[in-house]
Amino acid sequence: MKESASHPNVIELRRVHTRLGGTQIHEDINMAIRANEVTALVGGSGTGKSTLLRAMLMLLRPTSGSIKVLGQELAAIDDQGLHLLRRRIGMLFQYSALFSGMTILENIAFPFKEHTDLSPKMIRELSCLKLGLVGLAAEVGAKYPSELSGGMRKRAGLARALALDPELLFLDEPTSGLDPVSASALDDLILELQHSLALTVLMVTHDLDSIWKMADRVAMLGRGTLVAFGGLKEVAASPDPLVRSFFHGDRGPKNG
Amino acid sequence: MKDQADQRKQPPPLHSTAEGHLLCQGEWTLAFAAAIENDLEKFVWPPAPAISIEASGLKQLDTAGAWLLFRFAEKGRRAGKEVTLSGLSAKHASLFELVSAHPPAQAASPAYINPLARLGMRAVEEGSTALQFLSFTGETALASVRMISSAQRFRWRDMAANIESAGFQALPIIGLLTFLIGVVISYQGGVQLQQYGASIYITDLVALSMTREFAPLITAILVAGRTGSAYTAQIATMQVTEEIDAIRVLGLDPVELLVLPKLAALLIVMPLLTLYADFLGILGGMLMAGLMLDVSSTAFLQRLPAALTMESYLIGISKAPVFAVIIVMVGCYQGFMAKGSAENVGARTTSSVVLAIFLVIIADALFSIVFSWIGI
Repeated sequence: MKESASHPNVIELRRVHTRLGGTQIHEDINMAIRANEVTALVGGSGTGKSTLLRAMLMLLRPTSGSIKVLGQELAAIDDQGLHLLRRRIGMLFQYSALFSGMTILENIAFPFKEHTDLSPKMIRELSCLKLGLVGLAAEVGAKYPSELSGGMRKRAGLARALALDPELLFLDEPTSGLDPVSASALDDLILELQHSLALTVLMVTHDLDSIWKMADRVAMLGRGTLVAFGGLKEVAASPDPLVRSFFHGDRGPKNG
Repeated sequence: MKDQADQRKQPPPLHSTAEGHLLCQGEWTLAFAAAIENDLEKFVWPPAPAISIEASGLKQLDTAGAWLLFRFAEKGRRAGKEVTLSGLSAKHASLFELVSAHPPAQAASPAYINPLARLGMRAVEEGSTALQFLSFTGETALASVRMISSAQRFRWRDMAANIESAGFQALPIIGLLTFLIGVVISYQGGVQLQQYGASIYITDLVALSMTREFAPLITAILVAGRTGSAYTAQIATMQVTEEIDAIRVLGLDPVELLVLPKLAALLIVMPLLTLYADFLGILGGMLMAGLMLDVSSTAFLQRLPAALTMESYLIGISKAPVFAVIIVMVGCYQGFMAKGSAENVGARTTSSVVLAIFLVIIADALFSIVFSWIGI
């Protein structure tokens, strides 16, 4: 199932252009995301990070160019292929996007019920297992999303994203809206799971602390295109003014 | 659509090589988990006290497979066997460790409550809902009194917008439906009256039933469905997104801001809509009488002043403000009671419409009892 080992590039973007409602969002974006690495996608507001993420999640079609995810060309994929591909991808949404009418445990069990033929007992056990993996207590499973704090909701969203053991995990601003302690704990958790589950992670983030802690590589969007892409240290040392202001602005970490 | 990978063939996941020696093989992943679980359930433990599980044959392992393996080993230990696991590759071992460090605690399932206790809880709940509704009605009444003394604070613009959406935009549907009801009454009543040669009394039948009962009732039911539901959905969504709290924190009164303009709008609009419904209902009845009973429009209209007294007309119109209050109170109350989720907004909207129509019909029945009692 995990061909990613033989496929060093989990995601490949070639000459991606996106226009939305007459506005050019992306111009000529080329990048490759390697297996078992954490790649941070950064850039100011309105530079099209979320749009690019949506394109990779097949929620939106780029105007031209090719996107390959887990070795499959998205432009040429059929419904069946898309269904199978989506099973291999997990996504943590910015506001967790937990189904508000279901308990946390039902939220986590949902992908199992839809995608597998497991027995109800097994589904229950695996859902509880995922709940434990993201560091939530068993009692939390019986609660509804509106009864949880933001940090717990993120963890529950992560548990749902990881339900089917995806190879590729997308995170949209995982630490936004969390206090520094919870944010740091969530970073640690994601790193730990990334190591033991051999995940490839692509995260959109503004949080410099998370980037320094987690990212192997950084892709920076700006001016409608990819301004910098490479190893974390390499990008941080780039002379480009956009990169400099992002990494070494007033709000940058002291160790940066 | 279930996963197709289940169709792929693979060797039995557990293979007994020698007495007390088991070999795991193939892919222990989610795609095969159902089959593996099935095989493990059927497994009969050999008599040997020590069991060694050799896992070097595993091609793939994910959390589902690791959990199955862990659960299987635990089951052996509970059966009094000494289970050892060996041969996991480094990658699989770290996964196995992760899973065994977080065995799923059984989440507490909802406690069983006996039916009698549930009935009691339900009764208490409904009782307190009724009390809360009463207190909400009182709160709105107080806010209206306050508003009379400071009319410049009243949201005239909101009221006008509500008059347009609840009144003006409802004209086509209410007009069409009451016209058709008039046609139906005229047809059904006319057939009976014709047998007695009393066709001209069709005017009395149509005019009285329309003005006293059908026009106010049909209007109220349509307004409850169109407008009451919209009120609930609007306020419930604002409640869920904390906008109601924002209004309070800004030092404003949500009842004053959201409920009063709606109440004023429906109090104005409902009598007007009822009058309009009276007119179209009688028009429908008159056209049908002309076509079916040979009661010409002239004859119908000549009979009308004698048939339709001012009293009957006023009785019908007087119901409209009462129905308006019911619809606004129920709609807004249900909205304020919403909490938590998008699903709750939908549930509240449904119960708002059902409850409003229910109360409107109850009120109409009470009107009939009271009117027959005082003899009008």
